[in-house]
Amino acid sequence: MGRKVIVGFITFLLVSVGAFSCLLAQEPLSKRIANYTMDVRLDPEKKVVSGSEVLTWLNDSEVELSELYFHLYLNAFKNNMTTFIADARRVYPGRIPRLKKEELSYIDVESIKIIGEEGVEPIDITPTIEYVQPDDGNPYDQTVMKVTLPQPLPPQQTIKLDISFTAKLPLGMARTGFRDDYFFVAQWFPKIGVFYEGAWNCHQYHYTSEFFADYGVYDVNLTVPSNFILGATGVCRSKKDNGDGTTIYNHYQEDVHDFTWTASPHYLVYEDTFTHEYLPEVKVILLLQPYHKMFKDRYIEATKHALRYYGEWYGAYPYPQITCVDPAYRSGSGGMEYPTLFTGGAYWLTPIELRSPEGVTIHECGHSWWYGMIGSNEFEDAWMDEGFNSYSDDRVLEKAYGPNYFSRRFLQIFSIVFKRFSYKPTWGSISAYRPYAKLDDMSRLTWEFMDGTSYHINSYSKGAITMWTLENYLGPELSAKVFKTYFQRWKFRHPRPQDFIDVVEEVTGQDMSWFFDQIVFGSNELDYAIERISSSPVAKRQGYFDEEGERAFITGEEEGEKEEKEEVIYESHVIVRRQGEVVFPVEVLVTFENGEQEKKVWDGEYRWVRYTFNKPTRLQSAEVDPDHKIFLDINYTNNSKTMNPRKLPAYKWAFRWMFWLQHFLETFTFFS
Amino acid sequence: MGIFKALSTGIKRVNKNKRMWFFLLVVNILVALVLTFPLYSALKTSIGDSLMGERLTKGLDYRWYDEFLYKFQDSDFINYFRATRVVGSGAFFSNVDSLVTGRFFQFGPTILVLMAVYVLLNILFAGGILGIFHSPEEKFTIKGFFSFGGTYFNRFFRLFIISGILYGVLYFLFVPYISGIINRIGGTADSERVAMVLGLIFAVVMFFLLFLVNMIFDYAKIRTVVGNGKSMLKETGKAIGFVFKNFGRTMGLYYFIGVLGIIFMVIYSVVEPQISQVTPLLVLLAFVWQQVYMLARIWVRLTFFSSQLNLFMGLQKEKKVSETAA
Ligand SMILES: [Zn+2]
Repeated sequence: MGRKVIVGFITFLLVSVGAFSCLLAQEPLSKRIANYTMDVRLDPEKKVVSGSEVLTWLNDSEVELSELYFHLYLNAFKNNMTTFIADARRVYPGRIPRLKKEELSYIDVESIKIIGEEGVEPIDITPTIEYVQPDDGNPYDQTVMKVTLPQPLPPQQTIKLDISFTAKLPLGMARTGFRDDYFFVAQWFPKIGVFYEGAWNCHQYHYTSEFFADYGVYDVNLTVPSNFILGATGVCRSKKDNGDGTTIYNHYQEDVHDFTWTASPHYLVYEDTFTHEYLPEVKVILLLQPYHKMFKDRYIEATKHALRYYGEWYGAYPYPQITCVDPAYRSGSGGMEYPTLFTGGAYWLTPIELRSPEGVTIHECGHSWWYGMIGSNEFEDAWMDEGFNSYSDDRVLEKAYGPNYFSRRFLQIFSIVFKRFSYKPTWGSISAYRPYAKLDDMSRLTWEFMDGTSYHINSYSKGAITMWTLENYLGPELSAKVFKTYFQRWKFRHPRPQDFIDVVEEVTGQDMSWFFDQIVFGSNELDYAIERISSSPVAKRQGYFDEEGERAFITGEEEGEKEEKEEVIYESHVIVRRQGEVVFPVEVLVTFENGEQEKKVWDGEYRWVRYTFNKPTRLQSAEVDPDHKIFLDINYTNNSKTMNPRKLPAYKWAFRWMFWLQHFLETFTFFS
Repeated sequence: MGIFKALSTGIKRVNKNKRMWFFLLVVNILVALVLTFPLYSALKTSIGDSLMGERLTKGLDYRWYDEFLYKFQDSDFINYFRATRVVGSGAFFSNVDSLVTGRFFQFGPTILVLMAVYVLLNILFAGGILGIFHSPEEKFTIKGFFSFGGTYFNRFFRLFIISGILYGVLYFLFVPYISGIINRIGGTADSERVAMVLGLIFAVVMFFLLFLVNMIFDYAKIRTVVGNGKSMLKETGKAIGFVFKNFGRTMGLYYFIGVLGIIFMVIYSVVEPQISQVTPLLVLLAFVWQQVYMLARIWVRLTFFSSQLNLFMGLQKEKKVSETAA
């Protein structure tokens, strides 16, 4: 054997051993802190899910822990005194959820035991169960449970708990529950809180809050009636008919922070595959209500658009499968995100121009990134997932479907789309935000906003337009790098606002605290305006002037004759004013009659700035933020002034309105 | 008398009275101007000397539109400036929608007052219209018009009150009752389709009932003019009798004219977007086209009166002939 052959053989061996060990030691995507193995059964008559879970939990902190905290979300709908229902009364007066006996829900933890090594008797810690209310001390609220360990759990040690529980599901309420034989089972099992930043972060369930949990592996056996069709987080690994009218399914998923499932005998099931030039293939499963058959392609297409654009912009969808669920009518489970499964929502006879179910599908699927993979604390930093995601879904909608149109549902049945009037999807957010600009800081805890609308607007609408403003401020390339870097760095972790800010500053090399301090941690209005413009010929000299040591009286006439042949110089002034409290650097575009343009950049700090121009041409117009980059500006109409205002539009729109009024009057001669 | 005969002579009579169309259009414009002026000045204030004017010349700018509505949100009529009302068929759909559902009751007081004034004016005009159509000369003069209007105003106003009771029953008893049923059934239904189909059925029934009441009172007015009736209750009763006795023909005529109205609307809506409204001339052209459509609407209203008058008189004559023959 020649040396070459030997070297080649050794190299081959090394490479293949390397590849093999790589395969074996493939790094998990997340630090798997909370891992659940469950075995549960649905009783469709009693609306009850019961069974057990084995939780393997890692103390990832640097301290010993002698207490563990759990979410028992379903207790939020136990009675009318829970924090959730009390919040509901406060934030949406007049919209109090129903409270009939069979519609309420609860979850009972029957036992909780520490599993030791094999052969060692489990330690029952059920008697240490205590309901705690870290947020409001409301004694009626049982959405957080605390257990005490007989011995503290040291840092970086794992504990294994065996928990038996029974969950009575509510009539479709706040994203979970049943409606007849439709079941959407979310926030349904005893779920450990997150220990981070040196403390337990396990908030009560509030009306205006979503969720927060650690990543892990879910291995779940679900027993449901055999005639039911099941959809769940993860991939179905096995399905076995028990022979007693029930079937047991096993669903498995690594590196997710929640597990949700749905079962109904009525679903139509469709499968499709997302393929892409360089992104990994994803199996798309659609569970559709039979009366929404016509939405099949629209749901699947929208899901694929989300997988494509979010994948291209931020990073690949890493799971093999995604399930899109079309929720049952009035089930209260529509428009919600869960790991590898989400719910949309469709309404009969909705034309595609209304972007429904497209909008909700892209949004909820998009949460796989902002919520699913970027595990923000939704109790505390809602804008970090809803804001990021609203921004991203607007971008996808625009890319994939174009602008939004005005529309009206006639007799609440047929939609009429006014295709002549289109607008950017995000502009609806600006409209919602404007009246609430000064009400709350966007960084507040979700249940501490003044009301439900303020929570919603600050988290979604302001969140989205803040990200748009940031993108426009940084420019498309830098901004794309910011979002990608942030996603790649923080995926499968729990970033805080400062972590995002750090990424922005690192990528841009700029101090951006001024931006976030004012916009995320403040609640002032941003409004720049052109206050005044003027332009007139430069005044001729008049009066006594000292020339060559002699005083001369100049009337202005002498020079006039000379200058007549010369061009007239105009002195033009532009005053730009900061009307809001937010300071933001702005561009000012000044246009002259000869077509010449000058762009000025103002730091926007003082209350106003004046620009003076001496040019052989008259000023025509001035506009602050001419490219409409600052979406947070609450008034765009005052952003510009022109020397030649147009009279036409006021007539034009007045005539149009007058026609409506004329028609209105004529219609109601019906009664005369 | 057949409906087409009634219609064709009716149309001939309406076409003979072009000055009447224009008179009614002028009144319509004048009343609409009462609120259009403040709206115009609000628009002018809002647009001011902003470059937004350029954008609004070309089309609708959402940001301005939104800021305008926000600025005038407390006005009880300026906020009726909605994109879905001020373009193409928007006016038609929004008005028919509020007629059928009764949602016009929730309109701002300013608009409702204006509407009340206009309805009152048209109660007066109805007398003028029918009086002239029924007169031997069939010729419009302002004097004759108002003199007939004055003659019948009192009686027509009473008819308005009686019809108002019936419309009231429809809007305040029938609509909530049916909506309650739809909500109840829709609430337990398996899909949103059930509620929507029920809603559609409700709309059809409501249209039918509204049109029926409307037609009955058209004939009550016609009877009053033709027979110089004094008791409006009696005329209403007889009009009901007449409508039901000649159900096919009264309904046929009514709906046929209604379809003509829809055809005009479709023509208007198809042409309207073609006028780009980017220059003063085009804005003027669009305005003219709008007024042409309004004339067509007025024409339809006059045709209702004129043709139904023919049908009534024709059928009455037939009845007399058959009575004498018997
Ligand atoms: Zn969301």
